[in-house]
Amino acid sequence: MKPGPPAWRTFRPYRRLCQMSVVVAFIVIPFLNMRDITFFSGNLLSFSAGGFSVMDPLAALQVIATSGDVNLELACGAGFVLALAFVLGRVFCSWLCPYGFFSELVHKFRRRPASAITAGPGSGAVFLRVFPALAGVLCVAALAPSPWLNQLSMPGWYTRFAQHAVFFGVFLPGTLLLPAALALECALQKRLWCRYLCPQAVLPALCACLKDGARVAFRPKKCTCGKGDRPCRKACSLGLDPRRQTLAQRFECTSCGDCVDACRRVGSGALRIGQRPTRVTPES
Amino acid sequence: MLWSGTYLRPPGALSEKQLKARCVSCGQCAAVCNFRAVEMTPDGLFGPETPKIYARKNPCRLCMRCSDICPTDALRKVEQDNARMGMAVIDTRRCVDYQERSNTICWTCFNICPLRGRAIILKYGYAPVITDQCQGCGVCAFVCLVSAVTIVPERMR
Repeated sequence: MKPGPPAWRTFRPYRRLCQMSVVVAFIVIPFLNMRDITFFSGNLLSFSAGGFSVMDPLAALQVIATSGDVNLELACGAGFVLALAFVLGRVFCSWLCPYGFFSELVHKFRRRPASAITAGPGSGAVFLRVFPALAGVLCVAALAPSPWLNQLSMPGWYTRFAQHAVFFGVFLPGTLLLPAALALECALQKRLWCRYLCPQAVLPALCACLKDGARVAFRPKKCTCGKGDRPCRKACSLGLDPRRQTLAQRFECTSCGDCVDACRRVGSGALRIGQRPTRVTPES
Repeated sequence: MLWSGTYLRPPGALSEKQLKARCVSCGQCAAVCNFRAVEMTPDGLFGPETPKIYARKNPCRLCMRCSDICPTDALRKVEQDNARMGMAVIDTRRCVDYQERSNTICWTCFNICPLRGRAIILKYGYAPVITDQCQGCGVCAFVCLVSAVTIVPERMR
């Protein structure tokens, strides 16, 4: 096996750094707020940095549906997140989401590969999850007076947990959903919540498959691996095959870059993150 | 949702229904409050956390930072004069200024009111009376020595 590229040329360390900064930042921010430093405030449902606010698109959609009214700050905040998904793919899920980080950790330290549910990764069935999420928004608008789907936001719970512990010294019982979901993933299927259940991921995922921004791109000509030997596929924490380039694949892929790292380690460099070639002609 | 009542809300909140529809529980109002008066507590058992003010415990001082920062307009940007959180009510049986032949002049609520001279005036020169300028911030309820003031969260005026 060829020596891989040096660590600083791979995505993994930077990604871990990003994830860990988010995990730490949302513990630190409430403490800063308590000392009247309010440049950063909020949680991962709605966050503001120096007056610029960023918002969970699903939360924004629910607010629009329940209140029947859009305001500029909300539209910009949610639009920013969707634009990010549009340009870079679902990077929030793999680079920023604290739950994604914990979920990856759980499976890193877990030996037995879990896959009881075998809805094939990258199959069109994953689109089915769009419907519960949108139906949820409609239900919320019609029945509940409040954006209830936020109660299913794992990054939301993680960041709210810290806020409430620091501000008011209370423990929110909903925080228990975090270990519960992790346990469920452990028992049933690798990355279960992120892949099939998380309603917050649906809108960014749809954006990620709308059009080709920077995504994982595969150049078949450069690939040196045989059919059976697929380091990229083994590296993917979501169980996707990065060499297959389907719409469903783009919907699921979180652009974490693990497959690209694995490919570089083999030395072929057939996978990269960049603009996908628009058409692959058979002779090229 | 379950067992939800009517609460005193921070300035700029519309009706209870609109506030619940718009609040995404981001807690920025609580984070920026200069006085830690805004508390995020769950509505009912498992409901989302929404901002509330418990006036007797820690009243709103109408600094208006919470309504400035709210990203979803659950708390709209409003002026102090238009905070409309509720209305103070003075129990004249308890208020010492109303007691016949009492030699006490209290006026604590009158003196502390953020909208002094407008929201509370002194009728006949001695008896505090709440006017319709009252925004319901609850400072008077907080300072009243005999707990004669109650805040009625009534925003739909």
